[in-house]
Amino acid sequence: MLVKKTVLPRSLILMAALPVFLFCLGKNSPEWSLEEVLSIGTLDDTLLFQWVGVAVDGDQNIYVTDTMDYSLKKFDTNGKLLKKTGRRGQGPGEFSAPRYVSSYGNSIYVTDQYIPKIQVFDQDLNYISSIPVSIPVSDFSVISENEIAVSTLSTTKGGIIHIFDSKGKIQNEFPYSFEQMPLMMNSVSFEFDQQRNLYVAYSFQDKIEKFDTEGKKLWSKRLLGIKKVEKEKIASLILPSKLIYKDISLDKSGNLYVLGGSFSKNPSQDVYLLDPEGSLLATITLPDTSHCIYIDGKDYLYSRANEGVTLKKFRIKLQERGNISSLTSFNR
Amino acid sequence: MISRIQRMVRKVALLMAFFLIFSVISVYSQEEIACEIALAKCMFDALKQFLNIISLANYTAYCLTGYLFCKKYLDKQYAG
Repeated sequence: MLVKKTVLPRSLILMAALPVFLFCLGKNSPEWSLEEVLSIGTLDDTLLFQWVGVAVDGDQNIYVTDTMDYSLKKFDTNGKLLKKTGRRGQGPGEFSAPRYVSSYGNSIYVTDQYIPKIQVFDQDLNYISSIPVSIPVSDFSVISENEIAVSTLSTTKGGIIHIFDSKGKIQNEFPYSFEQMPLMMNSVSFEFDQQRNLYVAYSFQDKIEKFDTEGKKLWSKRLLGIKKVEKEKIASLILPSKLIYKDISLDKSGNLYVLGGSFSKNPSQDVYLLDPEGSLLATITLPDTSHCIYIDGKDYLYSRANEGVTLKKFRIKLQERGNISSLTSFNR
Repeated sequence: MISRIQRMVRKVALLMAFFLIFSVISVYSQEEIACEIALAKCMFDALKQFLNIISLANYTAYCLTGYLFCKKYLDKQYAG
């Protein structure tokens, strides 16, 4: 007797399985969000006028450069102003246009837009010394007491991170691009992780890259699909005018956070979160536009509000399978 | 003679600065050009030193760094 077998077409089975697969995928994929835990400065007080750089020490004290106040300020973990130092000038402990700040060991390092030096302060904001740097600083990072990494806008070479020693002597160079590009096209924000891998996010190219300690490119990502950036003639120079990526920061796990610029869905608010292998994990949207992002040693994220009058501190939250945890507790 | 040349240089630099600034202003609305005007002014200061090519290149790099920072800080207003 012949039994007629009913065979379901393979495509039909696949179609039926797809929603189940997608459901499982959606259920397992974590959601990242931010919870505000601290806000410093309001439109009604004078704590901050126009802050630029932020850094946090091991005790969670917050150091901020305030460019309109020509000062460096220290706040405790509750946002109370502990001390302020600096005034307008070019002498020791004075600022012309204070920019980026970094905390390493017991020292606080501050750059100035128009003065070719990095000033070093102790954690009580007493001036210690100055490190002369022969190039304008577009971004910097303190790797160790004797290794200060600086990126600049080279008009003649490709892209290079210069490593200065504490005396201001260039002791190493870390090229990230050998391509000689039009003006400013090689400008980057950068970070080194604990293994000294280098991450760069280009300001005017849709490119985020990771290099190992030997300078070998490990990966290169384009997140926004932008092929060409508009250029404009400004002061007889042909320059790019819209930023693609503004800033980068790393958390303790080596995840990379990249702040998008004009081309993001939410300009200057979208933060792209990539794992150490360069896979995009999520896009987190800041509640307000910012020029920078900073992640401290306990994985709190700092950004701007009220056009620089307010500094916000956020807990990074990861929601997985209905459970909400802060990134901090995940990493401990 | 030297002071005559210096006066000439100043005049040329001033004319070029006016040209730079007005060429920027004519293209964009006032609100959109804070960084561009700042760059033009900075370049004008650089032009004052244009007899020394090395310091001009160095000064230009400082101007461009300022422009990059300005763009980062103000960019959100002109997004899209």
